[in-house]
Amino acid sequence: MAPRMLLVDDQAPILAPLVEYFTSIGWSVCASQEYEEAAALLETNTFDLLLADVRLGGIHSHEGLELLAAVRARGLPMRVVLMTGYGSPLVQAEAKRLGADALLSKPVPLSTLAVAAAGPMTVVAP
Amino acid sequence: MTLLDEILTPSALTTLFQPIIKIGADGTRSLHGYEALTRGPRGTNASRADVLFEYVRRKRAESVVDRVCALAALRAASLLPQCPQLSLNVHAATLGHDPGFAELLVEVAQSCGFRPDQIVVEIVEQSSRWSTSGFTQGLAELRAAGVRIALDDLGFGHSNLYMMIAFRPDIVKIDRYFVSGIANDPARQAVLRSVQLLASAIDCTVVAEGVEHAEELDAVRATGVSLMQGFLFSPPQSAAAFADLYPARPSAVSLSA
Repeated sequence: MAPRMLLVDDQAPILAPLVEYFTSIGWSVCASQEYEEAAALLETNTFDLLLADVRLGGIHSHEGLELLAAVRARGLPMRVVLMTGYGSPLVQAEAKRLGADALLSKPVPLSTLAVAAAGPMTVVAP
Repeated sequence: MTLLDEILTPSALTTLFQPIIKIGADGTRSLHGYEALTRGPRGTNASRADVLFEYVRRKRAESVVDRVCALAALRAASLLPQCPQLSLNVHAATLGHDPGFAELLVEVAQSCGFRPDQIVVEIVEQSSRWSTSGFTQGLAELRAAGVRIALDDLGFGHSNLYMMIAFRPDIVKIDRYFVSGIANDPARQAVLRSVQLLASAIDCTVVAEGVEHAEELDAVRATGVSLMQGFLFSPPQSAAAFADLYPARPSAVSLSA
């Protein structure tokens, strides 16, 4: 079964190509542009990965961090990769404290996103 | 456009209906009524009801969405071949914060050919975030108009014995959790017997939800509960599907035993 990703970005021109890209490399992608919708999806579905922008519409809010906090508070066994175009040290520290697997600075090359989404690679001895 | 905008777009919502079945003393099944179940816009994440309502609660948009759902359900229900009773899901927060809801509901129900006493408002609530005084007022207005009140999902969240005693519903619906596997579980059987006993004492009717297997039907019947709903009888379907299944007849519709 394809790994399941919840992909959240409030900007449709960014979200649509990411959905297309991750689907093409084998992910089952559920996409959302809103914090409340993403939170509802986390509540009612199972995902292997949350890939979310830190800011989802609010100038001063960090809804992506709130999604991360919700995932960790509920102990959901999933990776969380966040993206941000405004990577302040405060956001970095908070993402780390809350247990993000990665925080990537926008613009992020697709290849970098794909590696971050896949997670730590396991080296199998020949 | 937000998901909420899409939900509120005219004709975006779909209403399905699931029959509530009365099991007679001799085991015969007859149609007692339908519960209207709303699905969100096709092609969106909210096409699933659990996502739709979790989203609506998080947006704190229960009132406006409940209005739209109720209107869509009443219009769709007017196409059912027979509908002795129609249950509509309404958040407690809506009754608590939307003073015009009861009046609107009764008016639209009548315009769709339903008497108020054919309408059941099923109170759904998963949070305590609503005004108790507004809720009590909303319930009183519905009751004054003849609408009956059901407490949905009894046994979960805030749908509990407190609600049953404080607001004296006409109907309680026992959550499927207590019905699934009841045939081989004395604890679940005891829960249903207890609820049936309490309900009888306060002149309240019990409906068991989520009846999927014949052995569950038998076990539920043995507890004294005779109204049931679940896939054993029918999945949620469109009004048109029931029109094909049960052509209109003047008397109560009998289903095969």
